[in-house]
Amino acid sequence: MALVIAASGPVLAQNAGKRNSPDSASFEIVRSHTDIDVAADGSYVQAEETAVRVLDSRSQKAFQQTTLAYTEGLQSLAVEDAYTLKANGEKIPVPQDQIMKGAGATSAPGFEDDKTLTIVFPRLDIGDEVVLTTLRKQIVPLFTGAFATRLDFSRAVKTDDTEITLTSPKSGYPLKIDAVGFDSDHVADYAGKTRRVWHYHNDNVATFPLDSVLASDDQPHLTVSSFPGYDAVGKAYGAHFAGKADVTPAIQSLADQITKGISERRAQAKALYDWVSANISYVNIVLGAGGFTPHSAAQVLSLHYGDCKDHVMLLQALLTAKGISSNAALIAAGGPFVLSAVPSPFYFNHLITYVPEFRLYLDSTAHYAPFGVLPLTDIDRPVLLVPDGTVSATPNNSADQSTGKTTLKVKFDPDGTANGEMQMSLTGTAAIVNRELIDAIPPDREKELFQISLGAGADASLDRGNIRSQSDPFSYSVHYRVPNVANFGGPGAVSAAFGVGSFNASSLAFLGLMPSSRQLPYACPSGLVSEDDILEFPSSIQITSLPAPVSIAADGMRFDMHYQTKDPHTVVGTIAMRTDHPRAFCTPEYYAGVRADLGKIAAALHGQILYK
Amino acid sequence: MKRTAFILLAAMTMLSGASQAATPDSNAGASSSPYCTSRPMHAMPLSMLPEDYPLLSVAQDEQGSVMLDFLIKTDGSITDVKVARSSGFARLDGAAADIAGQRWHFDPVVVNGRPVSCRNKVVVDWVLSLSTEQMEQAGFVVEHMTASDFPPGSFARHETGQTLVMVVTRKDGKIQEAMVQKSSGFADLDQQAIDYITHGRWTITPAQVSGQPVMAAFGFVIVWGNQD
Repeated sequence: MALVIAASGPVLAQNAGKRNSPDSASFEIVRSHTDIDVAADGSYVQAEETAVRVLDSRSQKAFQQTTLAYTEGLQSLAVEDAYTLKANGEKIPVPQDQIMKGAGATSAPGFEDDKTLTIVFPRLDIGDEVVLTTLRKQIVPLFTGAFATRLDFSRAVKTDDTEITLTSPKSGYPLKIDAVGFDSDHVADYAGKTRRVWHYHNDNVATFPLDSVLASDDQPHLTVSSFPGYDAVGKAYGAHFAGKADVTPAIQSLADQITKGISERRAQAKALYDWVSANISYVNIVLGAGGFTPHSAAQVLSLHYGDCKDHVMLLQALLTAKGISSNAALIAAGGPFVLSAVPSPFYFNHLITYVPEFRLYLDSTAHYAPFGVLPLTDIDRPVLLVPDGTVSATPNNSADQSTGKTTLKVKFDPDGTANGEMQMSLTGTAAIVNRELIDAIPPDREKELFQISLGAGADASLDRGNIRSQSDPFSYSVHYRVPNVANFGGPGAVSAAFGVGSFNASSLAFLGLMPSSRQLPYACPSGLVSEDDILEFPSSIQITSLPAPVSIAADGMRFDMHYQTKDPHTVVGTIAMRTDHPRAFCTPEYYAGVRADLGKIAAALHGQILYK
Repeated sequence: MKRTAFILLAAMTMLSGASQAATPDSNAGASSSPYCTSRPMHAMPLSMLPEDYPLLSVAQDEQGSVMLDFLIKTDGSITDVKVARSSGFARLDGAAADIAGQRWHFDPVVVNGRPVSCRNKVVVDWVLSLSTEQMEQAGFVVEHMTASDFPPGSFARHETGQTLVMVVTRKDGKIQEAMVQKSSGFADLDQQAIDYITHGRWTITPAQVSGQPVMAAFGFVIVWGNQD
């Protein structure tokens, strides 16, 4: 999944953001000057000077080495000046041999233009600044005759002395501009050009919960675009895609072969999607980096790998070969839920497929996504259909389109050891998420991770089930043995939601972070999570108390929990939570209305089974 | 790598006409205000700093002279800044106009005992990579340091460079402020330059205009080693 936004912010700060290591409070932008000169054909030159002060060891590590990407042939990138500015004012230049040119995300054939420059700053200590001046030239316009850019800043970062200057042709070059958080722009004509200047600074550092979501236009940003509307953006992309999804004899033959014996059209589409998803490796190149022109479907078929554009071109060609029309659909995967006010090609970072006949969006790059199911990052997002330029949106999930059911059996030995068996069965988006999570666990770290989850001395084994398949449900299981969970020498208690399941204490993520209040919308995916528990105690033990039944119904969610004794030594319980939200994000007002109920649910899950 | 940038103010050239009733420069745009009849004074230097040189202009070798035409208000602040003669580069013209409007401040112009508003013109020269000779010709004070002038150890460490110091003097010629405007790249050299200037290594003659002592600002270039 391509998640890196094609737009940019201060070059150094952006680099830190990509690494995801330093948080906002660990560095501050001392100076950010950006100077852009746009030509009538859409080419431009951009100089940028950024000084960032590192405030702790995390940002020190993150900024020590900075990597910038560019596309050779379309762009040039040069480091004009780079140095470490010590806190005492000493300037330590970056030696030339510490500015290294490298291949980009991949050096695979077909992606040779993707290059990087890596700058290593010397003697960088906490309190020092890294200062970098770059000159980037867009030699070949990304879209003929058109220009667009976006510079993003964060309210969570202290920012001083930020200035952006843009010069563009004085006449015949109308620009749409959205400047949020900046001082009012200053516009004047000089020497046959229009010069605009914006200033930004941020002294009031704000922090937001990690699950906050932002509309594209919420955070301080400057968007400039010569595109009159999103339809023009769609058409411009269409020019890049033209002829790339043509059906060649090889593609026709492959499509026929894949769909052999399948007459129903939707089943044919599924077979073609499954084939592309399983057989074309995904090369993670951000849309825009490396240009906007995909490889032809024939090339992708020959190489058996490609980026998101390439995936879409091949799938489109295969569908066309069977008479099924489709569109490329631009999307901001993992990004905002609302289109930016100014039509910019840089709003989008990913390309998926839309099949109008079935009203179906497909993301063949999402390795674990079955036909008709989108990964979480693609859900409920605006899309721009290419080439006609129609703005639409991917659907939101209902609760039934993302489900997880746990069956948990725990048998306690007289010495207090718990022997657990957990079966998990997931469908839809939840299956995609869990396949990704389970697949990310290195086999040699399984035991360690379960020890962290279950407690000291735990011994667990994971059966990854049908993780390589895309079919629903995804089923996996965990068998575990945890010593010293209970003390059966006298009265005691065990947690009702014990072990590895949907509702145990370490899995309360579905309740969200539960801050005291929210100022921003937050992610609230719909889904259905349920669990059936059987807890078997030693025959010498007497159950004295069970958690009281709980039923909570609130706007967009319902929670039920019920425990009972099956026999004097066995407790059975059911827990279920269903969330049904009209959008994949919820408002601060909604949160304020349901927070008390979320608290009751969290408290209920801390219920205990008492014994003596 | 980035080169040194200089902005010269053409010795604060006063280009206005001699008569208060002079017709405004047609290139300066419509304005009913007359031009100043005497050279306006300024309490603080009309500063332009090397950092003011637009990034892209440095990267693309853009140099040139901008003639600014502006109105000095009765409180000495300036407004209505226009480019009377372009450098040929939008960035240089715009930067000069912006900085003048934001930073420049004159003593109120007084006529018959009353402060008046009047227009004035100043030429700003944007120049890249001056040699020390050119800097001297442009009015900078250039001093070359020898081995014995270096701070302890720095000569042995082969530290070289140029420290550009902006010096502001009071009417009595005493130094009010000395600021490093362009570092040599070595903190000890820069500090030594400041120490030499502020501790009286060189005698500074009080500046005068029309026989009257005035505050003044000028650039000191301390050359460490043989770099030019």
